[in-house]
Order: sequence, then structure tokens, then C-alpha cells
Amino acid sequence: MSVNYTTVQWNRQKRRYDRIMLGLMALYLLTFSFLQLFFYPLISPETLIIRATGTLAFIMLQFILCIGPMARLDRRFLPLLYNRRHLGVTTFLIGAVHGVFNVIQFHSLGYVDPLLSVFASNTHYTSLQDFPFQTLGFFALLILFLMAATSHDFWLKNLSPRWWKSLHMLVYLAYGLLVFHVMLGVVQLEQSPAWIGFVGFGLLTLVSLHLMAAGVEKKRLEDQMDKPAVGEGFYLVCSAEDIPENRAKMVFLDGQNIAVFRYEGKVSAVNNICRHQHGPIGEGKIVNGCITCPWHGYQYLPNNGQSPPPFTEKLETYDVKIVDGMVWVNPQPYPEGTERPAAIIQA
Amino acid sequence: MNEEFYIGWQDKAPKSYGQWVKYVIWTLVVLVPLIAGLLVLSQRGFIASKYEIARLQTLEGILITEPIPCLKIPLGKNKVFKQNASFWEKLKVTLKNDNVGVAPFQRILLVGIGKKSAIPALEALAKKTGKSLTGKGIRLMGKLIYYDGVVAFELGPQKQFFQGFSKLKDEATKPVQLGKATLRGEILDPKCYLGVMRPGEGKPHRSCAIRCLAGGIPAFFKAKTTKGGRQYCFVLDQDGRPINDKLAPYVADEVQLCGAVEQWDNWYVVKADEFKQLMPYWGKGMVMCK
Amino acid sequence: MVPELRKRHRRIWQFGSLLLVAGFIAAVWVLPQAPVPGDELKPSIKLYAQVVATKRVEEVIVRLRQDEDGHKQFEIFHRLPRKFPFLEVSCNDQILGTMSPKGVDVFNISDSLILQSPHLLKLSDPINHQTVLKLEFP
Repeated sequence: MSVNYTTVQWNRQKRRYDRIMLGLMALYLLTFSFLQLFFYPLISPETLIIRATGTLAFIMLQFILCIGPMARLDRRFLPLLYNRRHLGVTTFLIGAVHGVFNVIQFHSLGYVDPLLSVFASNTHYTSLQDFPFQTLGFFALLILFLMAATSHDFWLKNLSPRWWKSLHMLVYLAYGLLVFHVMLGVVQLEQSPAWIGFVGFGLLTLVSLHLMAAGVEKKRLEDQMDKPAVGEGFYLVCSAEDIPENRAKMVFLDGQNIAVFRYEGKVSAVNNICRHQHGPIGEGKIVNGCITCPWHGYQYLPNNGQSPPPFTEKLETYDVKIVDGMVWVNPQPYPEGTERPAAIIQA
Repeated sequence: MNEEFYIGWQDKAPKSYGQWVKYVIWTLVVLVPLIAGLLVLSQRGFIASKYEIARLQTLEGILITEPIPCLKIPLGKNKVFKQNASFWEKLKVTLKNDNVGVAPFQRILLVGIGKKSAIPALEALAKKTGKSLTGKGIRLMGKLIYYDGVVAFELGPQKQFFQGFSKLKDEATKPVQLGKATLRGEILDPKCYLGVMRPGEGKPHRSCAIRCLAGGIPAFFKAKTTKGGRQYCFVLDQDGRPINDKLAPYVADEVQLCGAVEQWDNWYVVKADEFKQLMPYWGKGMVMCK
Repeated sequence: MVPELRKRHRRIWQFGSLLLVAGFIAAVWVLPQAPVPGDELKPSIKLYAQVVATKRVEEVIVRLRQDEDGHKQFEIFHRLPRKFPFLEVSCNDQILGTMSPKGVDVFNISDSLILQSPHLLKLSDPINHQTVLKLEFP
């Protein structure tokens, strides 16, 4: 959560996350280089750097893209999601080393500007086999750059979470471009079944995870979309008993995405969309009296939708009533941060 | 459903999450070196080409500027120059039919710094000295690049590569006509392939080879032989002029070249009149050139 | 995630999966195959049947071979360090040819040289002015 912007708001888990990430990266680079020099001492230093960074960036991106659906399928992966942006920015940096070395190695010291050469040397843009695969890498790196450059919450807020998320969904395009960058590039030279299998296995894993997560999400959403009974502007949501203590039930009422929380013998309803990254508030929990978003831990008070001071994020609130142990919600939203009395559950 | 709840900014993750993440990390610790090993060990390897990047040296030979700039290094202790009769003729007599293709000279390809031909530097030198340089004995400074017995020499540094003329005199060796041939293999730039880059061939290197050919580095062909070996030749057009621009679209592809083959000392040169790409799915049925 | 974003994810992956998998298969399909061999540039030299002498120095094995008519040839198997750009092969100071530091080469000995026994085979590196190997054959 943030009041003002700092480069990185460090905390213990972020530090551990980064340390483990850097450790694993070092492990990869060292193993790769050591084995390379041991088994293929003829490799040139530039090729070693290009291959080590290229493969590492590709593996990291593949892993990053698995985190989202894995966390949807099993909440225990959420800690991997928490600091995913550091992983993303680091992937861009590794990819950039790969890109810069390639441009120097293959495109500099000629009669044409090196960057122009990336596009103008091989011009078989209509052939699949001969396609200028380096341009694919260039655009993928450009996408990763845009994402890394806008990864800070400053941009998230100023671009609005909606546009920011859309921009960052370009990462799927970047992944697609990189699959073909690899398959139409180095794989054509190496022709190794292991390399082809590695890319193919990664691709299938990723596709299956995303399709599985999409299926699960679709079902969850349909459950929330059930048309409930209505009376005097209030909709019947569920029995108060059905909501676990300190947790929520998520519903769609009249176009409103609402999370109905139960806590301390009371029930309150707030908008289900976290102001940070549009995370699902209703999958969160009330911790120390505050609704806490499962994604990055942003917090709101259940009775007025306001983040506890000094934070400033606010959610819309809704009227709730309990009749005969049943929870009814009026989907007419109150302005963000409006205090609404909680409905009391009769013993 | 009211089990543990993970909050990133808290100091400690709940037990069930922490335990799970630990499993994930240990899996990665095992998986990461395995992936690195798999990727490294399944490479096809690198050729033993060499670029003597840190060693400047001076070579003495006879300079040929066109169409493929080279330095002809006399073999056999310069004996060729101590005899009256043409060494080439003598050699042919002594060898009879035994050793077709023994050359009294070893040609060393001259290239410029970067992805550039040696010709501009040599032209500038000719202008400066006011002499036509071709056929002259000369000493040049540069760096050696070599593989498989084929040698190139990168001239440099820019203003010091000329180390003076030498007393060597040219024995103009005539090209030996070897007849028409069909060759199949890959068009390359010799500078990278012979040692500046490893790998200096195939798709990843394609743009670089195109850059080199555009920079005037002579087109080089690695052809596959029936015994699974390699043979090399330079590619010119029917009139013996460079055709780098026409070859550029075919670089790094499997290509069939047809043309008259000549032997220039230790080099083979094909004067190509036809070249086509062997597509992966119909390459096997390709007919030989007429 | 808001439902709209979830839907976009679902659409992207339903469509993208097809595209990725189809593209991947196509990319494997167009992998270049090794070319069928063409003509040989260098005339191949026939090996003579009888091995008269074999000598080995480290990574170089030389066989002196002979045919029924008394013609001789050297068959050289060699794996020398990468530091030699190319090697000059001579017999009794007459050049037989050149070779790369690694491979198998065959050099025929001319009739005039056959008479001059013993044969002193010499491998030298003319660029670095270095004699790499000297072997005497009967």
C-alpha cells in the first residue's frame, strides 16, 4: 500500500523473494557457463553470453506467465505473485543484455546503422522458414521494456489499472513472439530435439495452465451471476450462515461487482474491485478489522470502504439488511468511502 | 474456507504458504541446473575456427586486388623465385598426373575491419603510393583468421597495415578449369565462418552474413561432399565478378549452385550461372545442373 | 481481476493457444534439412593397397603406401593444434601439397621422387615459419 511513491517499498518478503530470484538466476548462469566451457570450450565468449542470457530470459518469462494461472488454481502460489514485477523487470534486463550483444555482434561495424540492419538485412518477411526472427526478439524486448518502464505503482495509478493491465497483457504477445524468435532462429541451426522439446513442453504447460484457470474462473463467475430474488431494491444474496467468519461472498447484482463480508456478528458490502490492480477483494480476508486484498495486501475498512489512514484508497459501499437470517443487498452504490451501517446478525 | 491467509507485506507468510513456497523453491533449485545441462549438452557443438584477435603480424606475399583480394604466399621456401622456369610448369611436369591441384602458392583472403571488404583500404593505398598494386610483392599487417586450411587476414590497424613493398615477384599462375559442377550447401561470409564468430553460419548468423556480403566481403560457399565432408569455394558470376547482391537473399539457406569451377592456386572458385534454394520439403528430389 | 479482464484473458488464451500450437508445429515443419551432396571439387585419390611403413608421432599417423607398380603415396591422419593456419607437406624438399591441421589427407609421390629414397616427409607452417614434423621413411 502506498501514500507516496518510493522506488521500491521494501519489506522482508520482497527482500527474500529477490534474494531467491537472484540466487536461482546465478545458479543457472553459472551452471550454463561452466558446462558450456567444459563441454564446448570452442564457444566464443559472445556466443556464451548471448546463449546464457537468451535462454535465461526465455525461461524466466515462461515461469512468470505460469504464476498467474497457478495462483488462480491454488492459492498457495500467491507468494510467487506478490513480487512478480521484480521478476519481470529482471527478465527484461537479462533480455536486454541478450539483445544488445546480438545487435553489436551481428549488426554493428557494417555500412548500415545496426538497428536498421536488424530489419533490413534479412528481408524474407513473407517466408516462414526464412523469417527475420531477430525482429520478433526486438518487438518482444520492446514490450518487456514498456512493461518494465511502467511497472511502478506511479504508472499503475496514472494510467489507471484498466489501461495498465491492458498494456501489461501484451506480455502474452511478447511470449508468442519469443517462441517464434527461438523456433525460427537458433533452433533452425541447432536442430536439437531437446531444444524443440523444451520450447514445446513449456508452451503446452503454459497453454494448459491458462485454459484450466480460465475454466475454473468461468465457473466461479457463473456462480456469482445467479439471479437472486428481489424486493424493494434489495436482492437476496445468501444465508448469513453461508459466509464464513471474516470472509466474503461475491455477487453480481444489477451490474455491480459486490463483496459481502461477515465479521464480528455483522455483515457489510463493498465493491469487489481493489483500487490497486483490480484484484478480487472478495477473495480476501478481514485481518485486524480490515478487508485485505489477496493480491498485494491492500486494506479497507468494511463499514466505509476506506483504507485506514494514512492510506487514501476507497471503495464504494452498499446497503445491507438481514431478514430471518438471510442477507439482502441493495446494489445502488454509495460514493467511494461512504459510511454505511453494518447489518447485525441476530443470534 | 477460513484457513490461513497470505499477506505479502507481513514479515512472515502463514505456515501452509511458506511450506508450499519452500517446496517450489527446492524444485527450482533442482530443476534449474538440469535445464541448463539439458540445453548445453544438446547443442551440436562449435567448429575449431580461429581468429587471432590479440596477435598482429606481418605477412609477405603477392597482392591480388581483384576480384577477390588476396595475398599469394609462396610455398616451398620461396624456391619458386630462385628458378628460371615457371615453377608452376615445372611442378606440373614433375607431378605428371599424380597430384592434380598442388599449388605453388597458398592464397590468403584479405578482408577489412568489421563487416567490410579490404578493397577500399587497398584502393586508398594505391592512390597514396601512385601504383597499381596487383601482382606486387608486399608486406601487410593484420590478424589471421582460419579454419580447415582456409586462411583469411584482417588488415589493420587502419593506417598501419601497409608495411612496405617486398622483392617477391609474381608467378602468374593460371586458373585450372575443372568443368561444370553442381554444388549444394550454404552461402556464408568467410570472415565470420573462418573464425570471427562461432557459430558463423546458419540462421542465427544470417543477418550478419548479409551485412558482410553487403560490405564487400567475398561470398563463400560451404558445400557438402558425398562422403559427408566439407569443401569450400568462392562464388563469382559467369564473367568472374562478385555477385554478392544476388546471393544475399540465399545466405544461410540450403542452396544449389551450378557453374563452371576453377582452381586458383589452393582456392576453388565457382562461376555460378544458376542458384536456387532447396526447400526443406522438396530438397531431396533436386536435379543436378545440366 | 474484474470479470471483463478475466474474459479477455480467456479469449486471448483460447485463441492464442491455437495460434501458438499451430505456429509451433509449422515452425518444426520448416526446419531446414541437411542438403543432399553435390559434386566433389577435389579429385579423390585412390588408396594404394600395400602399407610399406607406418609411423606415429603424437597425434599424427603417417602410412607409406604402395601399389603393384611401385607407385607410392603418403596417407596422413592428423590432429594438430589449432594454432596452425595451414600446413605445407613436402617430401625431400619438394612440395606435395597443403593441408589443414586436422583430418585425413593422401599425397601421391611423383616418380622422380620415388627414386630418391629415403623419403623425408616434412610438415611445416609457412606463415609462422615453423617445422611441425619430420619423418624419415625407407
